[in-house]
Amino acid sequence: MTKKIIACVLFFLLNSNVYAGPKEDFVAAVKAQCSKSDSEALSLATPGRSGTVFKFKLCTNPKVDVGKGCVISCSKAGAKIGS
Amino acid sequence: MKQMIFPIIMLLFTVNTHAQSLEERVDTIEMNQLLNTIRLNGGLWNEYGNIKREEGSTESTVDIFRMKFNLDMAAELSKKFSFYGRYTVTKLLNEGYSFSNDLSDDEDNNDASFSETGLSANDLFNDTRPTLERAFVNIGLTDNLIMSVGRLPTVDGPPEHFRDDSPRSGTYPKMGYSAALDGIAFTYNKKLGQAKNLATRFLYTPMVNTLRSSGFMQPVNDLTGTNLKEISDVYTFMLDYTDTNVSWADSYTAILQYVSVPGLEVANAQVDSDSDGTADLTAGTHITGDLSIDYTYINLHFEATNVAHTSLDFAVSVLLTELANDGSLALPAGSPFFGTTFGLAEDADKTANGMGYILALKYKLPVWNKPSIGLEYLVSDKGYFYVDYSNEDLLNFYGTLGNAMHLYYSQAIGDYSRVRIGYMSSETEYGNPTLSGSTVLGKRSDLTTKPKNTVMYVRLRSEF
Repeated sequence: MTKKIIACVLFFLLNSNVYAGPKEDFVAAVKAQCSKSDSEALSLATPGRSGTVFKFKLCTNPKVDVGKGCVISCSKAGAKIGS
Repeated sequence: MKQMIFPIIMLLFTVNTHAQSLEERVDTIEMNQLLNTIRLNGGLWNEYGNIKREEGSTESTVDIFRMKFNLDMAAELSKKFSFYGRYTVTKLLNEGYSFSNDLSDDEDNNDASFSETGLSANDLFNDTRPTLERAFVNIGLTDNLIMSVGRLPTVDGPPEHFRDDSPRSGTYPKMGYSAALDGIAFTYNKKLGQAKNLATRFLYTPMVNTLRSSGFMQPVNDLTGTNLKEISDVYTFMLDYTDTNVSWADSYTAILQYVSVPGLEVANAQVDSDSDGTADLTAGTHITGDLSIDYTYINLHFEATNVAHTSLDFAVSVLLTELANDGSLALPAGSPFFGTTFGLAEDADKTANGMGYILALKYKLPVWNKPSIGLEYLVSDKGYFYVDYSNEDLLNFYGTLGNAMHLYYSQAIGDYSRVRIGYMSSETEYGNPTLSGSTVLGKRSDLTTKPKNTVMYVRLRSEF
């Protein structure tokens, strides 16, 4: 039982640091703009070209509806000096 | 039992070999991905427009098809280093004849010459366009302080992004200095709370005036032989505040911008007495004087999206300008002015102040695919001075000396395209000074016959 618990903890710790780059920025934006928790924000990060992370990163529309009543603002890469 | 040992050892060996192979393959994929440092995106729009101009009893109409393509590059290698670039191409569709406005003709007709560049597949080997619109690096000096160097994203600023439901596309407010500027910027980003960011920005974007001669860069002399400044300084200070978590709207942005161009020399202006497009260089026909201009402006911009959760976006932008003459110029009597005119104060060592503002509204209709209808209204006074080298409209909307209006309907088509149908009109109330005679540059005049421009257009735009 102890070994199983350790394995689960290790698995969780390893995976919690895996979402780097666009997904990390997405999670941070959802948490800041919609006051969601880390796990709630992560659950709204959907993959693929029609997913929320891609739409947030590409930012062809300034607002991205990520679900559960949360609409976040995104920024166009290279449009603002120093950001 | 002994019989099982050998197969077990073989199995373990095989499993270990298979795992190493997978790891190596993943390493290869990851390294190839990392080495592709530049990400490409782009935008393309095609447009039909009809332009009507009325001035007194004179009326003219032009139909036009044109397009714009931009290729965006981004390399975001770490949180403290990124590069952004953009190549832009703009053209009329299948341009056949290009016309020059030759006033030396007795008739009012313009001369026409056939231009092949519009129809060529770039096999004339005489042109190296497209235009480099932006190319700059962001280097994080600290976690909050970023240095940006290169050709900066100073065009296409707010509230122009309202028109296509785009995110903000440029740093400088549109009602300011609409030109692609090269230079260096320092931005200090400070988080003032959750989703609240204040960017304090200082930029230096000098103008360089040199003469290329015989393979060397040489100082520029005006026609009297006076050495002009090679470097004209341009300084910009900005406070740029954004809040994306407010109760009364989705987000709002407030910008304060101050720009100073001290001591811009105008003395290299030249006379073109026969209006053939070539400056006169003979003695006695050049302009003499020591005029330099101090140009400063302040822009105040405020915008909010989804105000009171009514699907209404709102923006107001105010531009306050000041042109101060230092010194004066004198023209030979009867010579038309060749070069750029400025709306300056009528006397030497005087100051001309001006103001212009724009109000932009956009409403998202609660119907299929949520189209938008938008309105822009601009008013300027006689002293208004607007620098625009990146006008995308079929009339000089933001630079109107008088009033201008833009009404549009914008509809998304799928996830990456949008069609916009619009109507623009402007009325010019003030005229730039006409310079002649041995006099200093004059102030603007109230026009008795006010030119009116009307534009109708349809534009299909895609971003990818």
